[in-house]
Amino acid sequence: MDPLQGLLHGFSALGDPQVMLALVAGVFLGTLVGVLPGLGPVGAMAILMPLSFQLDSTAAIILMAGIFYGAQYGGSTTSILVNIPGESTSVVTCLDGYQMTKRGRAGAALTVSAVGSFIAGTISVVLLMFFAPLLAQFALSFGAAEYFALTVFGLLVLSRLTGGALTLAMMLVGAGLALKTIGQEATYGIARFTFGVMDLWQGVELTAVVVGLFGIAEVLSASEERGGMVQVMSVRLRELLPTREEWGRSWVPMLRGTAVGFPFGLIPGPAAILSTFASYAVERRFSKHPEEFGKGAIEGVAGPESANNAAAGGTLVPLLSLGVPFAPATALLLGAFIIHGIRPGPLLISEHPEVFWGLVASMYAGNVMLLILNLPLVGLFVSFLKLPRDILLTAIVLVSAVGVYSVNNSIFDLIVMLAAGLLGYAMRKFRLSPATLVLPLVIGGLMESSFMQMLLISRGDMGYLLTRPIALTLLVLGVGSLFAPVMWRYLRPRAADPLAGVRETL
Amino acid sequence: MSETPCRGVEGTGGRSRPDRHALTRSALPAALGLAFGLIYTYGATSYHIGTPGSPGPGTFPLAVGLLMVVTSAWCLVAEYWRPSAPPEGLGANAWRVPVISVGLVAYMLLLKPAGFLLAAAALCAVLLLTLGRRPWWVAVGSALVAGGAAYYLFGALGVPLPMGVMPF
Repeated sequence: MDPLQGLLHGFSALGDPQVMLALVAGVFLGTLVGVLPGLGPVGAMAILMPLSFQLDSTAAIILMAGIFYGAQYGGSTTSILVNIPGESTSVVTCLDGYQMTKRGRAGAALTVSAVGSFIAGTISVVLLMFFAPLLAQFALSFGAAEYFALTVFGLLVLSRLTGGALTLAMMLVGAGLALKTIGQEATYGIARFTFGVMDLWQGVELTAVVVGLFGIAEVLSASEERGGMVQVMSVRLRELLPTREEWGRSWVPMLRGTAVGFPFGLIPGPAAILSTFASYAVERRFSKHPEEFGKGAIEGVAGPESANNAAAGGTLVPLLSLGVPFAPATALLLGAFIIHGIRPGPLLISEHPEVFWGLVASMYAGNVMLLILNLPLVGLFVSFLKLPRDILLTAIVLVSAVGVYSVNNSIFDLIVMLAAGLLGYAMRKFRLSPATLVLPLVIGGLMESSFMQMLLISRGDMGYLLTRPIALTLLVLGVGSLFAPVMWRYLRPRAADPLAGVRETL
Repeated sequence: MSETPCRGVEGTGGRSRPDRHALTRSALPAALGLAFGLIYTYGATSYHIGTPGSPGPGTFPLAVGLLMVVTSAWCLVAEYWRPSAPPEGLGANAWRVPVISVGLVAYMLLLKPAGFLLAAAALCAVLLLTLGRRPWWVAVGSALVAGGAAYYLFGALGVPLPMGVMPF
């Protein structure tokens, strides 16, 4: 199917009221969790994943994806108005966004950020639409060795990019893989590590683990803090228009942010966050007035806010073309695919065109809706900041508890959810990233099956991996990423690890 | 060799070496990981390992177990030479964490025998009473309303929920 035909096919899928409703709900909820500090898109996607089981597959994927890219819009609102990042991807926006608010230019900052998000979001869908089928075509030649190398690459780069000690991150990756080996094993059908518990035969329920790690853990962490009410400045609609000069200074950073952000999305790890830091650095370097940065430079809002949306689009490419998620949010999308019996991979686009093209079409439409939600209706979302915290947290726990139970009608899954919640709470105390546990849990099955197949094909000769050029390249890149910072320090002794500061915030 | 981004203990000032016996951010997770890794590796050997040419169900778990053992042991050694910062302390209202957990346990215990409505109301009541400063009768009343609303809302979405003792 060529792109134009596919797109028409996709837009016709949006005609289905259930799909349309899922899209509206997705982008609305995405903006909402973006605005609310604390609960992020991954948490919201996790909480709603079990409930999306009730929808049909296209609608479920569109809902989940809408939350993901919608949150990239909403995050900036809180950064700009309150100086609290609504999302980790909007930390940088606080720097200049809030300074603009103090100077009375909050409206301009909000508009530039929403328009930048819209431009970057739309361009990244275009890129996704052309890139993903190409990459899928390429991946059709992938065999067991390539898939094994790809999963190793993903997990190595992930442990490099998350916070804390590298060895600890790799240990958590191991723990995630170990969790995945619980239950009936695919090749021989033997039950492993079930300890006679029947509920474990099907394996540990992914939805229960992610709702615990991202939803319940977030509530537990939030509950122990003293929460005060947020003071929000009100913005009148009239003030939303930037001046001609502000527009002139913004449009190039928006495009540069898009160009910086999209490739970041293709790298395993917290791509969207890193892309905002990279974009901010790029803008300061290119600016004629670098001294204005940190004092309300509009470029410092336009660039990063475009970059995170482009990165969000980019992260969908490896998921949709290879079937391998490189970020927690796409890992959850993969979970949603699996719940609906769709196996993502290079054949997704040809076997389930309605899902792929439906998703692409929904992203075009979704970005238009988000522009409307985040400009004229921005006040509505800001008013949600005044929602009492006890009610919000109670609602999150209730939705989590209903959703996790509903997947298998299983009390055991609720026990897993609570255990994962307590684990996630403890991990936050030790600044360990829950993503390092979830990603291996999601791709561990593919890793083991390709590992076993590879050994069988090569009759146990690991040297076989080295004879496959794509697999070898991926392994070299993965191992290289582990040593990159060391080499960087050796080559430029004075330069600090550029990501050290970022990792602390992850 | 670990790439611990944070050296020394925050706030100690000066050049004083951090206390090696203090709880650090990496030591406890690494120790727990080592214990888990050893038990898991032992468990993996109880399945057929096979040979590289004909791998068995224990091959992959064995590799994963060894990965955990090696990385956690390495981390512990690195911690000894260069301790990481201490973990975050408990928040001002840390007592809420066990209370909320008990609320969830109560929900699990009540769900099948008493039905969703009562279980959800109990859960919401625990949460509202723990997190907010509303009078108890407002919290309990809202919890019952929330349970009922959730029952009908999720029911409308097609989520099957146990009725338990409730007649509707």
